[in-house]
Amino acid sequence: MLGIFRFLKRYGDFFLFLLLLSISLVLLAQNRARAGSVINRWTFNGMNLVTEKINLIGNYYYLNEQNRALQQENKKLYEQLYNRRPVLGIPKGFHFIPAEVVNKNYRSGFDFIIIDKGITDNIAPDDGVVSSQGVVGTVRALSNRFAKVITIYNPQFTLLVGLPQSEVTGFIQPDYRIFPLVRVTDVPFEAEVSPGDTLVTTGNSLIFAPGIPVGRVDSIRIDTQSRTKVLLLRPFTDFRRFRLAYVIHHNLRQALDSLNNEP
Amino acid sequence: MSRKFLFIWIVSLIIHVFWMVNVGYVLPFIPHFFLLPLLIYHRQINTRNLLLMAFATGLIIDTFSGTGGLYAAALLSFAGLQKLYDRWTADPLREKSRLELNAGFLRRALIMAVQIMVFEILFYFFDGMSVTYVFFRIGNILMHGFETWFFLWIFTGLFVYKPSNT
Repeated sequence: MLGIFRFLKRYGDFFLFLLLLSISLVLLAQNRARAGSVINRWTFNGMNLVTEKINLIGNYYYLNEQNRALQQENKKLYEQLYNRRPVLGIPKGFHFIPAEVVNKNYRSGFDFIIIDKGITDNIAPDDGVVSSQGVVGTVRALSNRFAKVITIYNPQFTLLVGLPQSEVTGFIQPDYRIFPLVRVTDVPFEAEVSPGDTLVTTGNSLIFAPGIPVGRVDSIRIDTQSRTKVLLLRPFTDFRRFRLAYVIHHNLRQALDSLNNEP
Repeated sequence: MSRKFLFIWIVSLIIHVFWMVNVGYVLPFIPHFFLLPLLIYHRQINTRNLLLMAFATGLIIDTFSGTGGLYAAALLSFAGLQKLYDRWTADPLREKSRLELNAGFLRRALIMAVQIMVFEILFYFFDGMSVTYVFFRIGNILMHGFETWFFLWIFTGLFVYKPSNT
């Protein structure tokens, strides 16, 4: 309140000037046709501009609501899309749970992010997380309401990726030294891969649905010792900007994991 | 506001209205006598009072001449510009404009002419509400400004400035 008084005291003369000028212009517009038409035109344009700006501000506050609605719509579409494709050996039943990024930890890459979904939202450790652009990472730790997600740049992250409609696969192995790229190893030497190709998830471990874009091949190197190709991949997800994510949960994954972990 | 200022204000208003109503046809334009207090006392009066005075003067002239808010808008803008001019050119030690310190007869006349021309430009701008109109009426502006300057300079020379000031 004191600040308002100080402001008015400081700029009171200016506001008085504006007030008196407005009164003069109103009188002028009422009494002189030429000036009146010009002032009416200015007023009309000015009011339209102000209304436009007010609408913009209103739309901005309405955006959150719209984003949530769109996220729900995307969830349904993703579920339809990724459960429709018949992929050999991969059972249907991927659920996409919309989530919002609460915090991002940034060092040389994004080591982990925190999302606003937890145990109460029926997600489990190692569930995959994607954005509308591509793969983000996997869930590492959970609380009731939040989850910690290690990103594709985290050294602990690993994932089997492949070329779409092809048997060529490789493992993602993040490396800080080549940020913002990630390394894809164990690609067969004879595999036909070229820079610009898109790599997608294979869906084998039920962490991610098959066919989700991961990134684009930036360059290719040959590992002469192991006779394999090493791809440098540029992930699609823009980690600086993305805010909305989807957690992918498959009911059969934990059963599959327990079988895989059997000695 | 000093009594001298009030006296000058009322006298200049009366002269203007009298000229406008009775002998307006003598010259092509009616000299703007009401500018006198704004030209002489703008530094001695605080901004708020100057704005209110300019607005009131404009409204009074508008009432007599039937011009809506034309004089009010022009005088108000002129008063605002005067205060800006004061702020930019004020000498804080002597409370006087740097431009007008030790100014002689010709320099004072020149400063007054510039101030009057600024007012005339504002006046014609509000008359047509466009810059093009101002250029179109540049002859009228010069003529009107000259008439105003001529009479105001005689008036100030005779009654306002003391010989030591000039």
